[in-house]
Amino acid sequence: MHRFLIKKLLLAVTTLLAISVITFALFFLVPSNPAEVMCGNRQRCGPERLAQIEQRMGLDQPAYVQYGQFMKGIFVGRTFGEGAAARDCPAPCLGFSFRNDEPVTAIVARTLPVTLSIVFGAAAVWLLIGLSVGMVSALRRGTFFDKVAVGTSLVGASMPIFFFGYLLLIVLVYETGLLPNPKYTPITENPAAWAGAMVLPWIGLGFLNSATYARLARAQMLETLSEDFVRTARAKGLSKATVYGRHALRAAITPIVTIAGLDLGTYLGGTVITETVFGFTGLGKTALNAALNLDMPIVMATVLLAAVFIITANVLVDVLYAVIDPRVRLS
Amino acid sequence: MRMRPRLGVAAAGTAIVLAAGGLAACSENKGDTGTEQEQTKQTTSAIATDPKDSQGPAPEIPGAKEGGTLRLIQEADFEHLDPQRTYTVSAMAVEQMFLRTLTMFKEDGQGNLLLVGDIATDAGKDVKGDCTQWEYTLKKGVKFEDGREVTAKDVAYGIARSFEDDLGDGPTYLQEWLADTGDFNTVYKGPYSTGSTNVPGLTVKDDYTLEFTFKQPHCDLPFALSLPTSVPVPQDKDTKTEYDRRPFASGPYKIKEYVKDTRLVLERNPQWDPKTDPIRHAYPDSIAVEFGPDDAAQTERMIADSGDDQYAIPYDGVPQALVNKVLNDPSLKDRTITQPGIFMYYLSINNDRIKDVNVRKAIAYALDKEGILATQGGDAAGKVMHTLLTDTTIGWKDYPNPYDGGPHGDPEKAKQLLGGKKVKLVFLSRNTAFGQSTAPVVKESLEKAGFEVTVQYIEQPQHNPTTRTRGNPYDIYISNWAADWPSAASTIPVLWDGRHLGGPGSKGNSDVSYFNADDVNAKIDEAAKLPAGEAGPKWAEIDQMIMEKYCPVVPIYQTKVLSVHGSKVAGDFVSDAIGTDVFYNVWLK
Repeated sequence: MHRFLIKKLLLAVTTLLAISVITFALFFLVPSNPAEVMCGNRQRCGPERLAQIEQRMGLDQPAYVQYGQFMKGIFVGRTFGEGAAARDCPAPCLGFSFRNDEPVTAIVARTLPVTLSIVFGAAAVWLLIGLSVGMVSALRRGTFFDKVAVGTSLVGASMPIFFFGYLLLIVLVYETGLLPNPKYTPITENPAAWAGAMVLPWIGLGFLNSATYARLARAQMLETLSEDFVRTARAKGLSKATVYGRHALRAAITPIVTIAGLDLGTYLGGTVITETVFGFTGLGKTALNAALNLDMPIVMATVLLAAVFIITANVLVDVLYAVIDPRVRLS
Repeated sequence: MRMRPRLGVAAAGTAIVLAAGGLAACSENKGDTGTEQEQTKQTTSAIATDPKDSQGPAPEIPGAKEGGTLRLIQEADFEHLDPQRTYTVSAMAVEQMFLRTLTMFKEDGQGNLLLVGDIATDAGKDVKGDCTQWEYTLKKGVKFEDGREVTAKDVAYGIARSFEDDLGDGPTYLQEWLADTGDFNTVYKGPYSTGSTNVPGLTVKDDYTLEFTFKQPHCDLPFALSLPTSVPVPQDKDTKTEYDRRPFASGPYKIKEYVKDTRLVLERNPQWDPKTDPIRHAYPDSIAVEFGPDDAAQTERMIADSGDDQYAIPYDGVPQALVNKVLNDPSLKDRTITQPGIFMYYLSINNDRIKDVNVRKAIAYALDKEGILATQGGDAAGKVMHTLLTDTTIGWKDYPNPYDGGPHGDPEKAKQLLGGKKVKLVFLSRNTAFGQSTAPVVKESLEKAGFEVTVQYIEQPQHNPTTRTRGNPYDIYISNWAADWPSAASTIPVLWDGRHLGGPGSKGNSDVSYFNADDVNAKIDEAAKLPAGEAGPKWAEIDQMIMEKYCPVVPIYQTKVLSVHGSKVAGDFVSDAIGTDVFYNVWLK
């Protein structure tokens, strides 16, 4: 198991390094001079000022030096510029947004909790609803419940969040006033207000994804139920609860764990549309605004973070897979 | 729809009236989008000459009461709260509630503007009578939030720090005027860079007296000092770029909490003395700004009008998709504001490349202005224009359109002017919803007249740096402009005085048409020497002269403001000075 883990971690680190190089290359490929964009409203942005900004951002250094400084900054922090104009960026420094005048880490620290709040809550909703509906549908195949569940999940899977989200807002907030306007409050400040604000995004993102998971769970469960070992378990006289809950569920859930891990990793990288629809400034919306404003340090950091989330989720899924299915370890 | 001409000079009470509503013959009423509030408003603008106008307290508003929390909603956080870095009107409007400037426009929401002293005892004393030397006396008893009195030194320090490159996002009028050059950093770089707080031309005579000395006349100084550049900053509280997070209050409120991208909460500043303040009422106990919801969500919330939203004012206007819903709902009429905005859009013609005036005139004839406006929402979004100044500008005059091609352009007239020439144009357009919707209309209308138009899209952040670079390889591009105060002196000299232009390759030029004409420059010099109360008609003459003689640009449309607020908000109005909602008269029912 240790060897398995080390192998996976090494692979993850290598992938991350490769992504960091590609992301850093993006910085140089964009058809603009970031220093020019940072020049402000001055009537003249002369060569002297441009050179000053380039020097402060480190843009006057060769690309490989800049990459080295960027990576070093993640571990030991760095200072941009010098003298009165110096800007400190403590470790883990993911760059400095001169447009926002603050370290990217501070921006991430502010916006990531918003995205985490949305994603983990929504994931709980979609896993709970998706798995339970899917499993019950499989066990009651062909019944009215199964037909309704399949139909509903088809509708859910077909609806985009920008439509369903606005629909929820109009029906539950604007027209009936059943729920308050979603207004983000940090969980540390007021857990009840935090949860209240998250209800709509959780329902929105959770319901839409639960449709996919319900279909997946139903299909997996049906396949598993037709396996020989289930028949054997039944023949041995085991109770339904043991056969379904202990044997069939464990086998059926393995591919769902894989998909859930990847989905979680992807969503943690930013739920741009969900954040925009419900008016939250999370990591996704921040990344989008940064891309539109060519605020490249934020773009780079968010791309890297998204990669970290996806790769971490992959490693976790692999480990979980190995726990659930011992054959994985052997291979 | 109502037009608000600002033409003529007359005396009214204790004020010199710079512009008065009237000229009914010029007015036009399309009647389809205007509300009662809009149609009954009539604008006048003035500089107060009686110090009593600058004295507090502001007269009580009948029926107004104290208490409650005013809620403001905006999608994006303010670019800056540091006053010397502030150049967005939404930030200016909120800053007015916790920061004070040397002068400020006092408005009544009915179109009457009066520039008064805010921190200063009056709107300024023109010492020599030629606008080269101005003296400002500060009121006694204006205090910062820690209880210390605001002095001339604090105002001077605020202006000094505005020279710093690191704080270089705010307006630059004062810096350029004091240094007598657009490259003002060659004269003074600011207190961080030089260690000196002595700004050339700015003298602190004593604790309460400040003197500005210019090499050239600047009769609009009282207006320019209403911008946040003149907000006092105590040197020992200056945290440089960090000041953006927590500016030190001198107004009726102070910052209680600011969570970037999430919320800004203002609470009462007990050190504020209403007797020193002729403008602000500060009826609500607190002001809470919420960042996040987009314009559609803001408008839907206002329509639903439930809970705290009854006390809310949204900042981002009504999106195109909801315009009809808002305008056609009679229940919203009392809380809907629609009026001409201060922003204008125009098609800049690069005069360095298009030197033939007939080609420029042909572009003006051919352009489908109504078509462009239609992509932005038609009548509800603005009105087409042919002057260089918006009708909210002091001295604006509605002269006949010299290139009247009808609402959708006149390709035949344009063809005549081209005389059979096949002219190729490269059109630079923003790669945004605005750019993508307007570019096809521009291209199609010009091609009907025989132009060959190539559209090149560019990302929004790169658009202005590109067009503001002299020698850029583009022939036409859509630009926008909003005057920093309602006088043509903040538009004509900035956009049309070619002497400000740098050489080839120079960046940051405001005159993006690269227009330079000696006779126009001479007229600008003449107008700049006139007292602000007399200059309006002169600027209007220059507007007409530039368009008729040179046609360096094609004005397209002037924006309209359309917003709706919560049912328990009273006293909200859109400022003619800064073009957005202002809050100093707001009270909560």
